[in-house]
Amino acid sequence: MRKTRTYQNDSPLGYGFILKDQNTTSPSVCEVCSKAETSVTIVDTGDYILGSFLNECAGILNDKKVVVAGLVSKKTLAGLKGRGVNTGFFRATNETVGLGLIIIDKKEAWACFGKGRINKIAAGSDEIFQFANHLLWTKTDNEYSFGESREVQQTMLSVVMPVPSVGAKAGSTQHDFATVGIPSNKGIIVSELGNYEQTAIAMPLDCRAYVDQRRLFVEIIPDAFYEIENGWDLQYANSFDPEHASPKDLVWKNIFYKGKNLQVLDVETINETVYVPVGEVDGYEPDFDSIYAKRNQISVRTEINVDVLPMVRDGSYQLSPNYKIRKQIAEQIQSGLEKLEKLDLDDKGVAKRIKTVQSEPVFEEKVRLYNELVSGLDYGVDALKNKKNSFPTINQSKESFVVPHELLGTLLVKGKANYLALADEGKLKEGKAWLKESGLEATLILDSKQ
Amino acid sequence: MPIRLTLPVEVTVVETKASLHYERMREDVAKLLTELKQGHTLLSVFSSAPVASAVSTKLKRDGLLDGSGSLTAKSDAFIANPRLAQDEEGIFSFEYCFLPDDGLGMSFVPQVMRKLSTEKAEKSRVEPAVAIEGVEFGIDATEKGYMVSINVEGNQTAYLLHEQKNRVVFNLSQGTYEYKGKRLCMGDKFHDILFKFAVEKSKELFPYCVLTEDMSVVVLNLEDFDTRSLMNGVTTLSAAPVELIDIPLLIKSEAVASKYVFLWLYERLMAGNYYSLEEMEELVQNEIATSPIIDASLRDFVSTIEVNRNAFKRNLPPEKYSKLDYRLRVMEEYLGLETMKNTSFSRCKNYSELAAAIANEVSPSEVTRLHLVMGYPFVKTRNNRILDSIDALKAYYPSMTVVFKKWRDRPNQEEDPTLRTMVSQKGVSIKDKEGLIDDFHDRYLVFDLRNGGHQVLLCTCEIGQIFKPHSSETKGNLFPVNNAEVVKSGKSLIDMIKE
Repeated sequence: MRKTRTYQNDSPLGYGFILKDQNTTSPSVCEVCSKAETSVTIVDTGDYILGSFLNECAGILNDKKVVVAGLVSKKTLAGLKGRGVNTGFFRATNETVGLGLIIIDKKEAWACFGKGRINKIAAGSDEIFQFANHLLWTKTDNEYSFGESREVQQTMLSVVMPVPSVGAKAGSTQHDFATVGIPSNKGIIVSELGNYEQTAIAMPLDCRAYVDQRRLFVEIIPDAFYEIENGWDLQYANSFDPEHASPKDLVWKNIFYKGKNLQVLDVETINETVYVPVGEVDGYEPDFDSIYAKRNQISVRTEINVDVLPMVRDGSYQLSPNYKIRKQIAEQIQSGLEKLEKLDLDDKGVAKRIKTVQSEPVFEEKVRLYNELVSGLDYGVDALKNKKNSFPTINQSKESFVVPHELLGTLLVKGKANYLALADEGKLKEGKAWLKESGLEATLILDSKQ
Repeated sequence: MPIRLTLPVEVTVVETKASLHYERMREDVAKLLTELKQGHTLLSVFSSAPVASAVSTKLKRDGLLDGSGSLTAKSDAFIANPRLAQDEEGIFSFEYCFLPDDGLGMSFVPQVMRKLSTEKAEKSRVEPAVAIEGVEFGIDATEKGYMVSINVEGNQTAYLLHEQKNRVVFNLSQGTYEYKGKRLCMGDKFHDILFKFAVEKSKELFPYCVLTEDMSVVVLNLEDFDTRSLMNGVTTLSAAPVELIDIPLLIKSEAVASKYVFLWLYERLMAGNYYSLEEMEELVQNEIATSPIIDASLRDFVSTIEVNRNAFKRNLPPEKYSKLDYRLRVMEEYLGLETMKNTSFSRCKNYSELAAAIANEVSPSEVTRLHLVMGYPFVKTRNNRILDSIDALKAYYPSMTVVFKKWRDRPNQEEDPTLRTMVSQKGVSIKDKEGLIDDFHDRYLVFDLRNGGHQVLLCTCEIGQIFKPHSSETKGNLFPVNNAEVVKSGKSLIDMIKE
């Protein structure tokens, strides 16, 4: 039986992002580095650049006119020799810079972000170079330079940390607010200063940043933010209006919402099937709200169809142990009666009573008669000598060996629960009656033969 | 630093009746004369009138006392060089050693015996050679004397007992020679002859250098010396018969000095040190120009050598330059950048202004002690004005310490002990800290504050050399550094200078 309910979603969704197709016009590491005439300075503690540089820019590294200085992680430094690097000036630091930097000839700085994005830094390359140079000479412990590994011997603090003047230094609270961490594979959310809720965009950044009039500023020197040329293009998502945007406003858009990438649909149909015990199909009411809440989609209208079907016997059910016990009891009675017939008994009426037991068609009655017979026996002298205890009564309860008539159905178990698989739906009433009469509780299902 | 000559000698043993004139070392007599000079009398020294009288007679005979018993001019000379002339006549057995080597052809007597040999060898008449004067020789088993002359008397005949060939080792730096287990003095005359001989021989044997009279080796060509010798400033050269062992090297020409400067810097840079070009010039001024390997006449020249990549290229062998080229370009590109121009410190014209500017940065009333952490505080150069800097700073910071960042395994410089004493006399304590320079490249002013904290100023050059020579222009600069920055491998500079 199919049951249907339709939901209409006109409520504002709250906080989320509309995903954009990414602008892919970023230059390559090699294109940037090949401009160098005297030096290429690389700051790459997060492995944004060096892999590409070593793969693509061997010519620059081996160019006798251009010196290459690289500040990398210890792990990267340790791997340089294995990568066949035998020139350049590389040092390892424990410092973390949340983006990659390439500085060409000490005067042109480029910022490298996740997903291979490289953008020019609009201004302040001089102080950014000083910052890189300061780290290179004061925050390093090991070097792999000119093809040799060694410990860095002296800290050279005369290579000073610059006092940023180009790098805007707004209040840090404001910047903290503007840069909010979201799952790492999504970069970070950046917003216009002081306008977080309405203007947030997502960018593949690992550093603090903010946008101001569609211009992106990222933190390079601690607390100093530098403008990134074409930085706005880095955004891969912008927030929709959390207070007003409903699914209707976002139909067919790809969005990032509650940690998932989704596409908003106009109409969404959810079909489900529910199996219930025989007899409960008509009265069964599906939990539509729960199904609606669990869906992985955002849509304007959601139609949920639930097909309610009776439960049907399958391989997961086993035959009830009652059948086996019943068979054992039958065998015990038959054998007991046969032995009795051969005994020398005082009560000569026993032979007649044996016949009564044998001819009793109702199994439960047969058991009762048999117990009555064996418990009331008077044995002759010979019988008393040897056979008195050979006729124990049957002590199992009725519930442990009752089974339905095969025309009614089959008694089954799954786990610890009993199931009565009815031969057909028409046996419903009969089945219920049998259960009541047998003192058993069981869920009514249909036999698979149906 | 021995200079040794090992020369073959022909030993001739001569027996004859002769008069032997020699001088004997009499330090006991010199000591007695010294006591007399100090006012003692012979009687007070010997406590016996006959002994005093006999000694007096002997001293007068030797001209060491005049008729009145006073000391003479000769006695003063004797105290300085207590050799007493001795004349002996008798039968002697002389051992003459003849040096047959070219240019020598002379004899000296290393051993005299006052008895004839018991050897049963056949004797032949011989004319004894002239023995060189002033050479110390052995007399019998234990005595020694300095040769004056041997005269074969009248018509006496000298007999040659036997001849043999031998080798004698002369130690020219000590002025001694070894003969039959005795170490004997060569005497000035013999030493001069042999030293000149050694110098001439060295010219043939070691044409790339010159052995000088003051026993240095002047380097004519760096390539002929191994780098280790050049860096240590001493060499060992050996070719028979000359051995020059651990002899100081000396550079006396500008061309060689220039090459040496860049070779020295090459070695320092290839060992993993990094310097800006300006810092390399500072090293040249403080470590090379003051090094004993550079002749005093070249110090000013070396001090003014400009360090740049072209100068390296001109002065280094091509294979060395090619190894250094990339490093140099890294240092040229990344070090010595003037990132802190025109500060209140760099504008100072003299040490008074500089001290006032420092006092303006770090309030003297808050400071309990100022540590000047320097690499060349006592270097012997005319550019070093550490005394001026201390005078100026003491006006603001009365308690000061000079902390000398010393290399662990080599001297930083030729130190001027007078300068060290003068600094000390100004009430400034001095702490030599070995190994500090291994971790901390720069120079620092570390201030101990009353509140238990510290403040640090980095000085880009020696405080005593912050002004260019003969100029009121600064060549270095000062700037504050965060305390957390002056840490290397978990060790804090502040803690290290207090250890």
